[in-house]
Amino acid sequence: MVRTYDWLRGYSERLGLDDLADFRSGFSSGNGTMSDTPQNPFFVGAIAMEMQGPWVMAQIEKLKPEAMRCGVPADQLARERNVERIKAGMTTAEVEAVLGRGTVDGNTERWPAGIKSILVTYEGGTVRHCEARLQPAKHRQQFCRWGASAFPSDEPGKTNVTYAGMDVWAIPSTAKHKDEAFEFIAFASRQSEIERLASMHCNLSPLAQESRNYLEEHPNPYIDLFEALASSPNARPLPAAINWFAVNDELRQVAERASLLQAPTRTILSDAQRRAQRDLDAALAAAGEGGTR
Amino acid sequence: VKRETHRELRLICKGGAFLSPWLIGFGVFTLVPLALVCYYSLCRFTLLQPPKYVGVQNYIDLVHDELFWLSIRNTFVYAAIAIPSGLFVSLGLAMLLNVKIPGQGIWRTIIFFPSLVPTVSTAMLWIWLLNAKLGLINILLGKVGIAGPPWLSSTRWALPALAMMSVWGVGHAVVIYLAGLQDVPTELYEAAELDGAGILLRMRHITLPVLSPVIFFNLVMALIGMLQVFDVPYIMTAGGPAHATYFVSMYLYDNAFLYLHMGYASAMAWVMLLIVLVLTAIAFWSSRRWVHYQ
Repeated sequence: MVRTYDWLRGYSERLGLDDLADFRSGFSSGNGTMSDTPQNPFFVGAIAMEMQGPWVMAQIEKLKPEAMRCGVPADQLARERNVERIKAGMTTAEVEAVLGRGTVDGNTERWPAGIKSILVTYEGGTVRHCEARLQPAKHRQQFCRWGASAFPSDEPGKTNVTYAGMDVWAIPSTAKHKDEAFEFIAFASRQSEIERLASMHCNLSPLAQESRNYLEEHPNPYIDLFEALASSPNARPLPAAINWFAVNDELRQVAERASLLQAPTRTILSDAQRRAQRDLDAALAAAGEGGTR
Repeated sequence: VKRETHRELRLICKGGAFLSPWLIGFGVFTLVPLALVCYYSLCRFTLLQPPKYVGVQNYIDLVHDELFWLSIRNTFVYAAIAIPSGLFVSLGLAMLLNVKIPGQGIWRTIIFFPSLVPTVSTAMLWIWLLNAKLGLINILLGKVGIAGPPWLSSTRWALPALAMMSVWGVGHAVVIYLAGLQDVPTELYEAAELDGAGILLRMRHITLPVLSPVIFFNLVMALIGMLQVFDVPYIMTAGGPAHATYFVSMYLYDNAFLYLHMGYASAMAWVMLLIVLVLTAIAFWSSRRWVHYQ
């Protein structure tokens, strides 16, 4: 922990506080409000690397879609855009006037469209159904401007070291419909449903085993790496604590104070630990009495 | 007599009916929440479980909470910079806008216009204006040979930068001052001119005393507003860097809605209310010396 923050403060010591602040302000704002915008410094290439979860690919797809389609031939890009013009009831000729001649297999016709493949099903010579499916993840990687990789560890030979966050389902003890809530959680936790939910959030599946379809059709083309990291014995979560938000804020402050060289790293960490521990003790004592502060 | 009483009763009922929307709104959205906050400040309350009475423990915890005192300090420093700058700038602008010049209405509109910009837009705009590398302010400073600081990412500059930028919204105060300036009797200026008083003397002995009730009103409003500052700094800095712009209202919000310490946040709200009340009372007490009602 101390080495981590020493590494962070090393940048301020080497580059100088003002120069580093200058550099940072060139691509960020005080509250990091650019993270969800096309001006995100990572998206525009101002910084080359960042620590992120799998969901960042959904942001890129929304805010910088061209970065997921580098090197896709122009006709395939146009085809992906034009697929919305295909409506039920159109004839084959009308479809092919928009998308060109595809590969016909019985009642279906397929077209490659970069990171997607378009599939049109005909019935009686007219369109019954049209969908654009994501190509397999490995295929999409070649078009993605960025790759994903595990961070190196400062301990030799230790691989797939990562921070593992998590979301949990919870039913408050005061909920009026506990059984129904539990039933909903049971439904949503089925493999098919949880994988659908994870894909829609561009997030990880919490299950130990993933289905092949999930890995291939996930919007993040590097999802297999993130799944491997999450399963790694070297994945470490923040300690589960009743005062998680407060601990998280303390750690954020430690990072800020260390990079601003406000005090030696050990002092900053000791201060944070003292405050977090006091808060945890109070929260645990209160929980024992039936509530926190 | 009976008919008269009956008529009066009907009038009272009618009046009450007309007043009832406000009375109900005031009761439901102000009085009841105020009373609940008072009760919750004496409880442990997470929103998910029923409140549990703990006496004055939340207030005792507040006294020993260093982050609370830091946020109080930040709030006071912010108010100490923002209130006088706001008062001086708005009064100065009002006096300038009171001068009869061509396009007076247009100038007044231009000054008032920033007050109409939504908070989030204002914050985003200032994030870019104060950007160390690309911001207009540092570019202009650079033109005159001054290297502008990294305003929002420096612990030394972030708080003064936020306080100075609060002057952006002085439009409302300017309008109130302008209205006050219209009420200054012109015969006083004429008499002073006959006695040989220059612009500064006229301002010192006529404009400011006559305008003092308006200045007092704006001071009290600014005092209340600045001590509750939340939205713009929360968007621009979220209290950073390293808590340099962390205000009481942010700490209160974090406790209430992030850490779910609603009881603790309620205690904080009451302490803030008391501070605002004391400061307002001091302002009223001091007003006897410098506010002159006509």
